[in-house]
Amino acid sequence: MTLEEKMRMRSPWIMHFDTGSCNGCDLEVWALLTPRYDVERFGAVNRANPKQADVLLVTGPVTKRCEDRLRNLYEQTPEPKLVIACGDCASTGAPFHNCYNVNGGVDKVIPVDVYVPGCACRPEALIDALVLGLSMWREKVQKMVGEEGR
Amino acid sequence: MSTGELLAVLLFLIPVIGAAVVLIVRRRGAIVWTVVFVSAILVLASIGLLAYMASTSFEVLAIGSEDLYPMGPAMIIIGVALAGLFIVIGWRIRSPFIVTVATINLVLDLGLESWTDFREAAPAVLIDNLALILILITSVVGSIIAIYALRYMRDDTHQPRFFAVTLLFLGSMNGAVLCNDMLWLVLFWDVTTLCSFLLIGHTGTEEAQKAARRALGITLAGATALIVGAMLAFYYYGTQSVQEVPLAGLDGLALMPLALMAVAAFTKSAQLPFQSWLLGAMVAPTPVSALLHSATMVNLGVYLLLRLSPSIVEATAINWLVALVGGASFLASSILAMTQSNAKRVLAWSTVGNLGLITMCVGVSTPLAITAGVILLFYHSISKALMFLSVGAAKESLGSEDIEDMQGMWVTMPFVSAAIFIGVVTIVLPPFGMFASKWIISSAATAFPLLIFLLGVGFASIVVYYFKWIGNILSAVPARQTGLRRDPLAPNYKWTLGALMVGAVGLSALIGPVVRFLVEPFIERYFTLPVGTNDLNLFTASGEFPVFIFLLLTGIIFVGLSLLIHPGAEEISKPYASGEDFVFESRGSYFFGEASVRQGIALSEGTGILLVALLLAIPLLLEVA
Amino acid sequence: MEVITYILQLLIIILAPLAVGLGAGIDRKITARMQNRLGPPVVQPFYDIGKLLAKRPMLLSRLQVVFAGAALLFHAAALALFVAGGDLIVAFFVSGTGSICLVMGAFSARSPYSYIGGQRELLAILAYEPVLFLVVLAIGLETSFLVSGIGGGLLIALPLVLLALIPVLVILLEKSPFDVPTAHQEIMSGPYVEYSGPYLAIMEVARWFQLAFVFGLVTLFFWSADPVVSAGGKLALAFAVLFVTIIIDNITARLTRGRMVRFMLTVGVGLVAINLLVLFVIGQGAI
Repeated sequence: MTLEEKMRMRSPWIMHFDTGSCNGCDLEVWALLTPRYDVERFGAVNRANPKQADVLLVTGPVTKRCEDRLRNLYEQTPEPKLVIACGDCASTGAPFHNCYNVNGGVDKVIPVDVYVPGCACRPEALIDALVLGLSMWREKVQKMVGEEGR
Repeated sequence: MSTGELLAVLLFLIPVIGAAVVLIVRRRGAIVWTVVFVSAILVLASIGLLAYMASTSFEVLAIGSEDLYPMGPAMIIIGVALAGLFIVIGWRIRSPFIVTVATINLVLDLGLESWTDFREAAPAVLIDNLALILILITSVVGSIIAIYALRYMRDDTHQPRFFAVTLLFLGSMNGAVLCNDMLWLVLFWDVTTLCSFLLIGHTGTEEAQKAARRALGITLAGATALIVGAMLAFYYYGTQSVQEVPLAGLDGLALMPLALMAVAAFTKSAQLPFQSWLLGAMVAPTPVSALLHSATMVNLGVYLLLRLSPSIVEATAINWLVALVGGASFLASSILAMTQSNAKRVLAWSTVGNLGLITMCVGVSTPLAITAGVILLFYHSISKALMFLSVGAAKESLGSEDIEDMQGMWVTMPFVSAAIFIGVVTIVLPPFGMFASKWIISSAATAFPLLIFLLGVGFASIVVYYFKWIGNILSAVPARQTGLRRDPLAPNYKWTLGALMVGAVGLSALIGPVVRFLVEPFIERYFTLPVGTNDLNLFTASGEFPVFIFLLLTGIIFVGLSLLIHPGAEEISKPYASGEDFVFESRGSYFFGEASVRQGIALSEGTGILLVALLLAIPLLLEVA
Repeated sequence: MEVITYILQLLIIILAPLAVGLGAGIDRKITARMQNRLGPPVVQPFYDIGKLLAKRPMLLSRLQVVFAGAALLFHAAALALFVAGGDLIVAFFVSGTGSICLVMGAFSARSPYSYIGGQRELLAILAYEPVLFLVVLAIGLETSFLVSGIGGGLLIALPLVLLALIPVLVILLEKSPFDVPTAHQEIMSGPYVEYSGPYLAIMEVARWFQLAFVFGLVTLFFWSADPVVSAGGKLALAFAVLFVTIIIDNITARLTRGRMVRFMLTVGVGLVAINLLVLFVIGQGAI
């Protein structure tokens, strides 16, 4: 592991976005920052700003209203970046599947790297997803470099 | 006549002759050529005077009164005619105040002249380095403004009058600075008052008339103070020469002439509580504001203060009041400027503040402070002229002087924006000339610890109001995203603004020689110069300022970085707005409402009145005690 | 001997901002422990910088980068002047120029949060610059304006001035209750909002240089003839001040910008005034 990769692994800055969730998953995301789970020990910080974020945590099914916003935020996050779909709704749309005002899962709008199941998703699962996502950095970066080369 | 004398006479006579020519010929083409010709002569003559004085190693150049004695009766006639003109003006605009003051002035003037037999002051014309600095400012900066006005006023219907008065203004300003005889000083003082009255009211609107009347009233009242001061000076000091005011040993009522002349200077330099005329004068066309603020008028007041500063140094009873008036003007103007969104009003308050600093320097009255005052006076006029002329050029395209309307000007008018940027940077930031004087003031003010509190808050406020403005100018969507085109800029503006930009930056780089050749000879007449220089650095007893290194650094930083950085198109993204796409419209905060601003002005004027009253009362109190 | 001094000064100029970075890590660790969390490793700020440098740049306008670079260089110049024993007032104003570059960088990106951030940063400058200016002048009044000429005795003569530096540091460290310009919940880190990747790293390092200068002012208050004791004491004093700001951060909530300006211009300025007045009355100072 090069120094650059190590530094990237140790400093995932998070941007949390709610695309129409019932707030169940949001509460669990916030629980990550509490003393019990404390993701800051992995260097993760909630930046609330896509331009400074590495990891997009998206909760909830993507409503049609939210679609453009989500895409905008995704585009405003500089590469390399990770998208984690938190909870069943974000992964597939779950109960809102085929609903008239909902697009379905996050992957209908932007590419997703990690899906976290659960309604609501457990903080432990979220931490697991973060760790899994971080281990995908190398692959991600290689892909990014490849795209640039093309 | 020696070369120096000839040049001095030219500096005064040529603009006056030019004014007469403009009035007689009245054709646009002839006016243009006359103004350009007079400006060229003024610039050459002032630089020639500098070279001549340098060749005599800056000896004080005196022109005896015998040579000029034949002019005495002519001066009386002009003086009386002028005072009569003021009475007529007062009568026509139905202002009892102006009629009264003008009548008093006429009577006092005649009294002073018959009493002193108009031949006491010897020599009548005295040119030292302080006068030289003022002449350079008036002639060079004033000429640039006059040339700029040729374009700015091209559609005006009263051009002959405008340019005649402008040239007369420059001539009378040079005259006022050159003369050493108080009688003559009073005369030229009145001519500048008349010129400013005519120029401020030039557009003829109701608002302009009102502002002109106010300017006339306040500066005429100041002239009264000056005349009474001159009379008392003649009575107490037995001299009519400005430079022969005793340096020490003044006490009691003998301080009165100094106090009165200081008050006269406050009116001319728009210090509290007399600042309102300068603020009102903002309705005048931009070149007029530039003339009033940088090249002429307001400089006359601080010139008189600096001229008297060696005497004020010893007059410990009144110097702290002068310092307080200056300090209060600085603080109040800096805070009030934050509440203004009109660019010219911001600049007007900033002028009050900077002149306040100079006044404060005279009041602190250590050699260090007076040096700082002279340096500030010199650099302030260049930067302030640059600012005003840029605002005028911007107004021609934008149709507005409001700071909020200048948003994104960086893209549409890069040249004017750069001019405003350089103007602000040379006013506020190190390592430019004005900063050098602020640095000296900061260490000089420690002689008077109360003042450092005024300075601290004032400096920070200056940053706020200037950089809010710069922020608006910079706040632009890049051209390639909007397809906005650059507005064309007239060559006249390009050359005048360019000359001032080069002057502001170049003279900052040359601060070492400026201090050595312009400032030092004046200070050395009375004190030992407290600021040393080896052309690259400035030293004081308590610190050093590596000017050149920092100037180089600043140049490298701004020029280098903007040349180096060329981001690719793929790097440009949208602004973050929580994922929304929307057109962002901003409106800056100006912190206080109208009512609070009025209260603030009233409060500061009240403070000013109190301080001035105290200033005039102290000689009386000392006499009684 | 000359050469060794120069090398030592150069080392300090390089090491001081790194020390501030380490201090930021310690700060995060202590804050986490105060909140009963584990917290990130102490070297976390360096990981962050490294990661930011490796990200793909993204910006709104070229001027942003110009001003980010200018902020870094001006803050570095201020620190260099300070370490080289130059004039404190000049160093203060050069450092102020760096802060102004931050504001101009915020304004040059046409973005709502950035604009608000710039306006608020200007207010923050209005709040802390006067106090910092007075601190510098008070130090100069008591001893000398040249850093190289400042000896001991400041802590005894100017204790309230040191106290006035604490709210200044609270603003500069972007801590409650005065983290008004960069309020991360309301305006997403304000003036920094449009900076990302390497440019954000530049801004962060610029801030380290700025803090190194201000902590440098703090260290002036301790002095001893023995270089080892002197260095240790200076470090301890800087750390103590940092610790106080961390406690303040953890026990307060953010105040409005008006309260910030009013507090600094009354209490901050007042503390310096009282200190100078006391010195004047007992006639101990150089006034």
